[in-house]
Amino acid sequence: MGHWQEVSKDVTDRFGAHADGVPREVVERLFAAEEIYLRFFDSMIGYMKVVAPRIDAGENWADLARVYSQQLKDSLVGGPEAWFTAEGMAAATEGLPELWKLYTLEIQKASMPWAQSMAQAPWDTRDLMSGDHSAVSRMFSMFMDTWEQTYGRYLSAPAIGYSREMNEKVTSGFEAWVDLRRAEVEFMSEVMNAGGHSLEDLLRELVDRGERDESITTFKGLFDLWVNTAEGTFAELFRTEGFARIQGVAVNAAMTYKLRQRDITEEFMKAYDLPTRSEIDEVHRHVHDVRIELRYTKRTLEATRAELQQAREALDQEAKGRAAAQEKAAQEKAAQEKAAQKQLQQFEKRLEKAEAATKKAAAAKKAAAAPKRTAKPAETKGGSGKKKAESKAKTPPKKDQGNPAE
Amino acid sequence: MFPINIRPEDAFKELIEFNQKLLAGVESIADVEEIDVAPTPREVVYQEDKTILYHYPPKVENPHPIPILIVYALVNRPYMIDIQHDRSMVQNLLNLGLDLYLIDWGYVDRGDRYLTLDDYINGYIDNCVNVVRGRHGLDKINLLGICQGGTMSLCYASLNPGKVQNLITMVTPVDFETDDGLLNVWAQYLDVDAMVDAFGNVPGHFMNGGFLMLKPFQLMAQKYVGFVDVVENEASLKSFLRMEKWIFDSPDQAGETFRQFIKDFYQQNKLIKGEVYLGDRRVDLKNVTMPVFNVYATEDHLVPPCSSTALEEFVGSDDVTTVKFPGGHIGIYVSGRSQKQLAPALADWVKERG
Repeated sequence: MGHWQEVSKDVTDRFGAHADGVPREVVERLFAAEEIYLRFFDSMIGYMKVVAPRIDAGENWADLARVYSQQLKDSLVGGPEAWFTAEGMAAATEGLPELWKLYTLEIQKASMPWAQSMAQAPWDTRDLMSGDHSAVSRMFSMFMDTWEQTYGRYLSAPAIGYSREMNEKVTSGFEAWVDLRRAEVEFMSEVMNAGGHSLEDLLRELVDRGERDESITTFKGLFDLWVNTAEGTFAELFRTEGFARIQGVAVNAAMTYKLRQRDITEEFMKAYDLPTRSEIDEVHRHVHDVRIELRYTKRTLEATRAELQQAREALDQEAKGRAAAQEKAAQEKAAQEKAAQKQLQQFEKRLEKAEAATKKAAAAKKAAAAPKRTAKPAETKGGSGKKKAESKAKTPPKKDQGNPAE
Repeated sequence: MFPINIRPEDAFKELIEFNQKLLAGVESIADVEEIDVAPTPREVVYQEDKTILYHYPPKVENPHPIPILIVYALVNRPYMIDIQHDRSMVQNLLNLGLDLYLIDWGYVDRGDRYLTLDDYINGYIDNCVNVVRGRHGLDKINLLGICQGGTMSLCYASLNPGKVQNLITMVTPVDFETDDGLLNVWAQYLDVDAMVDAFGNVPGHFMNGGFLMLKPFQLMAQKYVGFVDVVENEASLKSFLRMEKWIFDSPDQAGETFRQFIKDFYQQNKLIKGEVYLGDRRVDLKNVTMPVFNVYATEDHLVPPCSSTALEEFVGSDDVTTVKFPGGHIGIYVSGRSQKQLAPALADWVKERG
């Protein structure tokens, strides 16, 4: 099986080497799933090898299955100390939920010297309890060596020196690391227990099927049954408040540890005149504030523009109204002037006529007042003309024509 | 009777076939040069920071006069609703005569770490709504919120009832206090302050880890084992790869937004209590008086049905249509049933309400 895994890995690398993005990731996930599949296959084949002859010999297969399940569970869990080695942690994280993988794989890089020292610690403790006093110094020196390999190196860095602040940060980082380890172990225990329960549930399901005379004839069928059973078992665990609390503690501890790590890292960054995460965050906060201010300034500006536009339109409207009114007034005035002009002209015409009539009358009068001649026909004519002129001169102007002088 | 009746030679034969298919599948995957998603043509009509407002050109001569603005969740990419030609809610709605706009939040980076829910709702969403209103010369438009985008749309509609003609919510969490959803239970024990302080933006892959844990065996093993059976079919392969792309194409979450969403919504359930504040404005669901079309999925493992159906009880509208859709959180967009039933039901509802 190991050889197959290597071949798989090789195939993944070759096929995925030139493919960007998802295909490569998918291929990796495909092989990861295949690995789980094969491991399950391997386990079941192992199980069949062990139990088949014993079933043939007449033993109760269900009892055998339970024993095998326990062995499998034990081999999976392997005792807490198995996790405190690089191999143990890697093995423990395989096939487990992604979340767990994410932070354990990340953190184990930094914590591995401590993990190895802790893996050794139970043995020294056992020696100590058996009366070997040198175990005390071994344990102490082991922790000190580990300290030196990890945070002790920070302390000896000349650019930082032995500052109280730094010591506090390192101590606090160590405490956070211990809390994280504790939380991880508790979390892992829950998950491993659920894994064990899922095997029990699988067996229970198999027993039920056996009693119903139902059999599974393909390995895929068995795998699907295992997945569905395990999903149910884990879902039951995940839904409990206890699990939510343990998971929360583990995640929160990981976050706290990350923060403490940052505190220490930032001391280095400062020492080397490099910008720290906190400083960049502060810049981003300012940028955000400016962006928001800009957004609201833009809105205010847009609102002001809209108001201005409205005001401008209102003013334009008003101006147009005023211009129209002025034009109307001018037109009315022009019409009035035109009417007046017309009246004036009419009056002038009448005046001219009147003047002409007056002159005519005056001329007639004058003619009448002149010494009479013997020419009778002329007298007759003149007398008649005078009467007419007098009659006209006595006629007053019509009222509606008005007085042009006015 | 011993229930496992697998002959060793059959088992090995099965294993060999499995590996043959697997290798053939890997070869097929390597041949896929690009995973195409979001096939429906669209144009950018507005952009602000990383937020892009798209418009899908209508497919009918006289589309419905009131356009729909789609507000997607922050936690995933919006191309789920237009994942491929034959599984596209967008295309279905366009074919049914609706005029669609979509907000794409983009990928936040560290510079967006201080963006708040107020920025998203009263900033980006409001600006997009105003752009759509302006383009159509309307006072009110239709709003369609999906998942977390539905929750945000509810908040928006509550604060701006004068701008929303009809509200459509799909698989939207409203009442967060429920034991039916694992996320609701788990969130109670998270120290979100420590998380945001530590991460800045909460990484997409971290969120994905949580989502995978909801069904670890199915999502991390069984799905891929079953995949080898269809991998030789090009169409199935591409569909699978598109879904894979979408599942793991998870943007990071802006830190402050995540902090407020987890605290106010998941941990303290303030939305239904009328205690959520965006900036200095209080979100009161009683202000949601416009017609509401609320769709939930019966098998939703992310947003439990009871969380969605609570909407009817808390909004002020007396015209709430609650639609039950048989399926899961994602099936509501991509399943065959969704293509045939959900989009027409939604389009009819919108058209009936003018």
